[in-house]
Amino acid sequence: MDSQGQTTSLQRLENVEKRIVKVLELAGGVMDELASPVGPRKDLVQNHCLEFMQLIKDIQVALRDEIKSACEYRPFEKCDYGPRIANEICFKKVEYVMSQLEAMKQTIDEHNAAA
Amino acid sequence: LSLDKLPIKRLDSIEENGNERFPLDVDYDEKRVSLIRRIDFAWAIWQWQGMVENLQLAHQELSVIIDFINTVETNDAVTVASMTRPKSLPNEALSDLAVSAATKLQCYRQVGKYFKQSAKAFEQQVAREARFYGALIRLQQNWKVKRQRGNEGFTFDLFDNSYDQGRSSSMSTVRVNHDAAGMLAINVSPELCHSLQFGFVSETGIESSSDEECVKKTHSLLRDVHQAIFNEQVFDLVNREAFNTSTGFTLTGIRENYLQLSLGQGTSVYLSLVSTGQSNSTCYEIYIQQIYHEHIFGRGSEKGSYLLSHFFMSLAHRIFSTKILAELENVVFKVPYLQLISNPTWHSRGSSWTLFMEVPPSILRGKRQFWTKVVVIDDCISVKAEGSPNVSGLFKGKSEDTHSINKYDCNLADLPVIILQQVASQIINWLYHEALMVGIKANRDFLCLSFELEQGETLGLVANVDPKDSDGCISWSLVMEDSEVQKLHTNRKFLGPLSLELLYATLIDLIAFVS
Repeated sequence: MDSQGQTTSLQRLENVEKRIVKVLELAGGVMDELASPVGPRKDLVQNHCLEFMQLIKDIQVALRDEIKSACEYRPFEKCDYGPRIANEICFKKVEYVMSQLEAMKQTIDEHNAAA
Repeated sequence: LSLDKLPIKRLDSIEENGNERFPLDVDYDEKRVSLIRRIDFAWAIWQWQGMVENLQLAHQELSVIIDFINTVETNDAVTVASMTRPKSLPNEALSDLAVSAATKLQCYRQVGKYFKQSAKAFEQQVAREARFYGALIRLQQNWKVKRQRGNEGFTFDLFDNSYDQGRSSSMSTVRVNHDAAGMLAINVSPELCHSLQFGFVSETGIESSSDEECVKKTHSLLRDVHQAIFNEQVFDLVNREAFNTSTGFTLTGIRENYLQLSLGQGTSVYLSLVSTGQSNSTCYEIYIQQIYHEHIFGRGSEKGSYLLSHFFMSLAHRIFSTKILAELENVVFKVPYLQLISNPTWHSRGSSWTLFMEVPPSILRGKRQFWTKVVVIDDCISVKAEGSPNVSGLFKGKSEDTHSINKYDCNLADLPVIILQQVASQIINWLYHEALMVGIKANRDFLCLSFELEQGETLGLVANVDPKDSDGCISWSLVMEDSEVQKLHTNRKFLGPLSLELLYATLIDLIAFVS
């Protein structure tokens, strides 16, 4: 089971999907074993079924948790588009200042080179 | 007595080839039995008759059943309550079981194959969607994502209700698409993204290599669109203001997305919306964006109708400051012992500079730095300088306590002269102070330091300022005068511009001469 602190919600859901794939593969494996002409190997089928049930349980637990926490998630409650523009303006200021400093540095270098 | 049978046999038949056939040797008893048997046919007749009777009975029963079935089919009198299969013979049961077992195995195999194929297909789809939703969730940290009704589509919503909806931008909604590999992509035409450009008019111009880069590129495009929407708003507000007010500027030209204004005194400017990529930000664009940003997003302290005036007054001040700075630099360049320092005012319509003079150290520790300050607000220049020392406050405290402050308002043309005069006066004050410290009595005028000689003559050091002098703007002369009253004879020796060390040496010489 993934701990909630280490993974994001999206990662946990992706793990659920991976488990579903594994569940399908196990079901296919059990069917293949049952279709075997010499008859199924009991221990193999048993292991597959145990793993199947464990995975189903994990999937259910994970989905339950995600559904609960999804209800608490409200995207963009506070819109930051205004401060974002302010940030872009600051970025342009920094760029401008840097270009001025570059020009100053160039002047100094030229001066030192000439001296 | 016993009789042996003669070995004579009766001949049965003779064949053509001469072979003799004799009848079989049959016992007399056997003969009798066989004769008896030949006679008795009763049991055979009984079996045959039994079979015939059985068949007739069976025929009768079948007729009854058929009639019965016909009656039931028509549903008149009776319906079927239950039916049981006749018990199957063992071999029938076994073959049925074998067939159903084989069918079941085949079904299992097919189901197994179906599960495995589904697992593979699902795995591929999950991988594709993981890339798409991974990118979407990262972009959602910065941009509003809306889900379309009905179909599966998403859009990025850049709409901002702080904006005026006059120029409601069709750019506000950006559709989220998939590229060929199922990854997130947006379709934004760069020509539609506008930047603000400000300039002076001259009088007398995917496929992306990684998911990380895809997200970064999409984010960058969304930033461009977001800024473009803002720039359109700013342009519209400036447009509106330019038509409604006329303080400080005149509207001289209009084209689509282009405004031209005259600020007077031969300065014309333009503001236009151009495709991003053509413009390099200048500080004026940034400043316009900043002041309108505060207005749009609601600090709202200044009314909209004064923003443009404020901007152009700031622009005018900046142009004026550049001229002042040129004058100050010119003065400082020519006078080696002057230093120029800019003081930040953090105000767009105010500038300030300080000129420092540092005098050489003397034997007794005295004040060493003298300042002259130039402050410009809009187009008003004021000069502040340390003046003559207060008598009571020497050797103590800050310069405001020990020195008076001279204050002047002036215009650009007079600025160099006034500054040079202040500096020269500060030198005189310093020399005067030095003389006092060694106990020599001297007299001080604004630009002259004089000593009394025995016969009522005065020997003086006089400063002369000329901003246009290329050798050095402050030059010195030694003046000898006969008497204070008459000043009939004046000998003047021109010394030229002197360094502070030389001036100090000259002072020492004068002191030695006088005492």
